[in-house]
Amino acid sequence: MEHLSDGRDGLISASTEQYDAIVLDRILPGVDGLRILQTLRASGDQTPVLMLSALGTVEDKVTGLRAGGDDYLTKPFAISELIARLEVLERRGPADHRPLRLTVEDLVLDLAEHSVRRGGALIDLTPREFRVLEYLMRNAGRVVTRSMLLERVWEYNFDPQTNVIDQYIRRLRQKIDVNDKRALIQTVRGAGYCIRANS
Amino acid sequence: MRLARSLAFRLSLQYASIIILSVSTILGLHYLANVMLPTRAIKADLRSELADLAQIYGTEGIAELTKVLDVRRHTQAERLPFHALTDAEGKVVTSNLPSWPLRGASDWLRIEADLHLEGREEDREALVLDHHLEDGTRLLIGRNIEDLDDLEEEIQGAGAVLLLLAAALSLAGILMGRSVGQRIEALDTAARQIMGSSPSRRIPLAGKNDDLDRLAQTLNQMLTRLEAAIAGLRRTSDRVAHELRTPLARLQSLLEGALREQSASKASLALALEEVENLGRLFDSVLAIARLESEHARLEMRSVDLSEILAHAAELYGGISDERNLRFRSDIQPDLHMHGNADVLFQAACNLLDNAMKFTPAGGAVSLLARGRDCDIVVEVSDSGPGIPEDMHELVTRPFYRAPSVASIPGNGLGLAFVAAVNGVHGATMNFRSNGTGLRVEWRIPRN
Repeated sequence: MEHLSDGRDGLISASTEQYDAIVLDRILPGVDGLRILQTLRASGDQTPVLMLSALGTVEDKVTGLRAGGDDYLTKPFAISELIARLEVLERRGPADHRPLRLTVEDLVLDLAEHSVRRGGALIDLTPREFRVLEYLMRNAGRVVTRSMLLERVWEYNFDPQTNVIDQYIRRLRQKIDVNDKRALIQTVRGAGYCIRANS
Repeated sequence: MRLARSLAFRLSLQYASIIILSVSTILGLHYLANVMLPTRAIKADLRSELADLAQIYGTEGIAELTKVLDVRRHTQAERLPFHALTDAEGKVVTSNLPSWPLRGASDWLRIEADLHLEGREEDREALVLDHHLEDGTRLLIGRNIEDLDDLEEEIQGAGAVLLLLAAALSLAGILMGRSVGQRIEALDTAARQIMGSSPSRRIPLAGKNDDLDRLAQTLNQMLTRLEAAIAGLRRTSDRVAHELRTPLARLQSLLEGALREQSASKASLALALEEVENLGRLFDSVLAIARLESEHARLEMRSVDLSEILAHAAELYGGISDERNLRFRSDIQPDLHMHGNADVLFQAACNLLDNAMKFTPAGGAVSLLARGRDCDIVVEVSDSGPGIPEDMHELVTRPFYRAPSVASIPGNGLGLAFVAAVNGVHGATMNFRSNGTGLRVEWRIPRN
């Protein structure tokens, strides 16, 4: 891991060396973060970039993502949030290589059939529950935070009250863990959720 | 000088000068064309006539001249001819002029030659050329220029009236300038005082209901709105400061406790972290409301399907109703399209559902209804909770206001304030109905 605190140095390193992911502050001395990102993308560099910024409005996010950012995190943030997002970014495969069938233990999500089965038994989910589960299973073994779920699964930019997401997940869990099956969706205290096979 | 700088005074002076200039130009041209040029022609005629007559006198003597003058007198002409001839001793030889002055310095004379005929009087004015022949004989010949004389007098009269008019205009300008100046000065003084130390002062009206009074009224209304906005801002910032104090105090005691212990307990650090997260969320909520209130224009508005937005909110809150053992029913008319911002409408719907589910005791019922009604969409969120007393209906939409009866239920008092801010952007309204068996929020949103 390398840390550079000047925009110019950052741009030079990013364009000459190979990284798994880049965490880029939007406002930097020397060359502005947004300019670095645009320069990288213009030269065909597809290294995943996570933008950090104190500017948190919807427009700021849209500008950051349009410039070629893969994710956008507003300050202040928890380190666990940053790590969770980086892990997802790093291991993200190209969109066209995504499997049509996701499996965790005996839970099978079929994207073509749009169905979910646990041990062969069909589970009835709402369209959004299906998307939540898909997102969790795509990132199986990795922590998915509440705000990541909000950004990826709900099409609204909103701030959920109290624990509505927790309760939403709880209901999803109840639907999946039927017949005293082992709980697959786990709560990671202070971070988010994780779906993982028991091995 | 203040008067000279006064706009009204300068304007009236300018108008007066423009009037004087244009009218004098017209009058001058009129005078030139109809008085000066004809007079000049007549003078030229008279001079050539005189030359002829002097020649007759020189070659044929006084008797012949008298005869010629007599003929001239009775010749039909556009302008009546006048003459007078006196010999060397000053005796009148022939004349049709009533009188004439002694020989003066000028060759040209103006002589009044009114004709009295059978009780009628005809005004005549003679333009006369006065000439001494060699031997002291004096010959005066002239033509009637009464019409030119009348015209000249008319033009002079008009000139005088014009001068008076211009003087009156300037005077009016000075007076107007002074009165407008005084009122502007009063406005200026009042504005300075308001700017200085007494922001609740208002600009006095002259009671004339004219444009200056209207300006003062508009300024007063603006001041009132500004004052209200500043008061609101102060109230909110006071509340924010107050709301921050409590979690900061908790955070402080948690950290102090952790410091005192030999090794900080994980639980207390987790609690401290939670406090920090709550503080961040509080800031976000306050900022979101402030943005809605101050940046209306920047919010992206487009055609949205409110039915879909409400259905998504209902689906999200289905989990909570199960958890809290509430009966939740949603009945949403499909395809309720409107012009608005989906993000904030979704958040507002969530806030209303959140309140309904938070305040309704277990075993109760919550319902969400949406119907199109004329140009509006009416959304009703009903619950079987304790309701809101009528005297608090207005208070609950204020930031941080929480009814005393719900103090034990977690919340920051910003949910309904956010909905109110969303309503401000969409021109929507929100009414509360408490009828003993819970609360019904009637949310009425115009379609466009």
